Amino acid sequence: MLLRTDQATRACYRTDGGQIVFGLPDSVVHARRPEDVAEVLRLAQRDHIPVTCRGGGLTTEGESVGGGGILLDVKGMNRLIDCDGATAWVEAGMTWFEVAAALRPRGLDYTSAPLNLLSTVGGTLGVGGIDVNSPRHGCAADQAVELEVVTPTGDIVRVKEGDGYMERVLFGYGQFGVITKARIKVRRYRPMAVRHFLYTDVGVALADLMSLVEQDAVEACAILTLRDDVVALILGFEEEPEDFPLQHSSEWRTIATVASRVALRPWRWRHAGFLRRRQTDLLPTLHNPLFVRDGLVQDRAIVFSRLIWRQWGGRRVVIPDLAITMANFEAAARRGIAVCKRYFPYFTLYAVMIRKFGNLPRYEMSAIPATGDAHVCGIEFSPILEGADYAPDHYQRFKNAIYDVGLELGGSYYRFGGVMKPYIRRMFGDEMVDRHRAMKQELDPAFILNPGVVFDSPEAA
Amino acid sequence: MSDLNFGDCIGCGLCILGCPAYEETGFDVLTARGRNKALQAGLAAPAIVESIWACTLCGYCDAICPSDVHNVEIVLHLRRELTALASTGPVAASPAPREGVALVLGCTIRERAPQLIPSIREFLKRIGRPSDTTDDTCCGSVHAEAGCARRATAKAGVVADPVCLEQYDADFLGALAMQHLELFDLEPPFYYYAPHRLVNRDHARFYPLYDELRRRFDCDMNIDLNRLARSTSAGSVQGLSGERARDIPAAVARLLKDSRAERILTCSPADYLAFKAYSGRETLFITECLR
Repeated sequence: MLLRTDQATRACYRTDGGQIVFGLPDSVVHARRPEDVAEVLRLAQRDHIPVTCRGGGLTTEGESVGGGGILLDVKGMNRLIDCDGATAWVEAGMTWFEVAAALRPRGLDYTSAPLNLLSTVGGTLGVGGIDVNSPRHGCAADQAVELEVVTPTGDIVRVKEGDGYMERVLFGYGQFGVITKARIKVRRYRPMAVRHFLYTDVGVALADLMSLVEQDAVEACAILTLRDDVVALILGFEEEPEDFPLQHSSEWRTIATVASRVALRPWRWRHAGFLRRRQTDLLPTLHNPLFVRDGLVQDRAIVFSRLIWRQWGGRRVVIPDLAITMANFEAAARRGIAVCKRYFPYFTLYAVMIRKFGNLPRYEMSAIPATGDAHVCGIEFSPILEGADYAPDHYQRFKNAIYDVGLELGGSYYRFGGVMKPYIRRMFGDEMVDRHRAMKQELDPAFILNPGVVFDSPEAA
Repeated sequence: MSDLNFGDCIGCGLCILGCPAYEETGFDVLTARGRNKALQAGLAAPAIVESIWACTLCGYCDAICPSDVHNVEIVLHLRRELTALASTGPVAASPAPREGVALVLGCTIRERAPQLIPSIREFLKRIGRPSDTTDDTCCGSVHAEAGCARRATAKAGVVADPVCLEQYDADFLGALAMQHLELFDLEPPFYYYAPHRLVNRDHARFYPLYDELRRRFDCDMNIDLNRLARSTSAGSVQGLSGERARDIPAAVARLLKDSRAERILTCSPADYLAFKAYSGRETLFITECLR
């Protein structure tokens, strides 16, 4: 364990991926072993010191920003311990890039993980983790079959599928323990053929997406939009690409439709410029010859991560989202688009579907809304700022307006912690939140682990 | 500082993936993201000295940054600032690259691996490039790295050391070797250490050469999933001994972790010495493989 208190080190952690919430920890602990984590938590529990756990630091609502207390950086626990070909036992501070790099010489790949590649395994399992192949494989959290967890009181425990504590920790938003190791499902590494299909109506594209997912027709699929003018359905095939009866438009027809919408509306000409700029920026990223051989994307994770960082990266990362049932997918998209237009000239939607595995306890109070369907849907609404910046209050009102749509349609959110915490009770209800808070209280008597992120700490309560 | 774009850093952390300082220490503060976050918080060079000197200028961060932050330039600028702050008297004139020589061998080959010179000359002879005039003094690249001098550029024929190539407008010996692979005995399996700075900083020019080598011989390489080069840190000021030195044996072990190749080849003199000293495997400079 290495403790640093110098100004520069603390400054490194003053904000997270969102760059909207700021706070300085008093000290930073670089954990190298689970025992380091246990020792920190025992001391913190004894002396009532808040501990903010941090992996990739890519939260957007300040969830991994510590105002005072100890910042526990777990990225130093980053080894692949063993791999039996079906699962890999990994230290939870590994980023998914490191997991991919460690598995590749064995001809293997992880099953499902966030596209940014820089989240750590532990942080991902704590919130869910959505990939373009989640329609088939589910969340990253659903790939875990065994965990090593340090409890908030500093005990190191091993839990397996079916264990109640494992169900609490997965999707637990770091409230119930620190994941230090995980056994995750792995699969054979295979290059992917990527195709994209264009639409000019988001509803039609979503209908095609749902149809493909219900047929389990493709390995990977997602929708990415430029405003609501151009909607791209992106499909990934690990087998020979198939033809499907899709309702998409040809590229020329898409261009003609957009042109006709813009031509007689001079105030929208700038939108055409935006679309053109983005098209020339994004498509080469998808088809970057560095990663394509014989028409197949060799490293889909790298390609998609580059797309993500070019598309979403910026001085502010504002990504309110809605986790919604299939019945409300289109309504959520259309109403969210209307909100986006009220707040920003340019925006993008990223829409995915996620397979769920029955009604596991882990899904309660998570980004997987309760439904009898085999899949749930997620949409992220992101302004594309193009160099502009707005007051923090503007971003917050935008996020609130998106989340209000979620309240009206029912469902959940992926990012409900940190500054979005006021929505937790409104969405999940007092009974469920109080029940989970009581579990937290029992496991974490001094309320020191990631305090205030999801539940009010005792004094605030 | 105003023209240094550390303010554009979005904190994604892509730069950390291949940062040698991070691989060795696990400290964010020593990475490009860490430095940029500290600078964004208003800290000045004296508050981040450790971070400024930890950087090996490998260029991974610049190559992968989605916001095009010029991290190497930022570090060099901060080093010059620190040097200026520390200087109490007139600064001695820094060495400069020698203009117009046919072959720039560089200090590392001249002083630490002179046994390579005959094979280098033989290779150049076979491809019809002269090697009659060579450098005999330091080109100044290490001084530029250390913040004691600004970079200079002189014209030359062929440069044998990628470190010196930063001071010369010339062809790189290793690149010429990649263009004449038929002259070499390259029996797989082997591990090829591509010159990381060149691959990372001039990716469009150098990466295709080494990618072609990898495709042709299916060799292991220090190229990662991002198609960028990992480094040993040898050949930088941190490759030298002293308190700022990086742990080169550990870096060599990390690079070779997944490779079973018994033979290591490279066209980077400092890395040649590093692998020879610490890998426990046969290590050859590319020109030593001439048929």
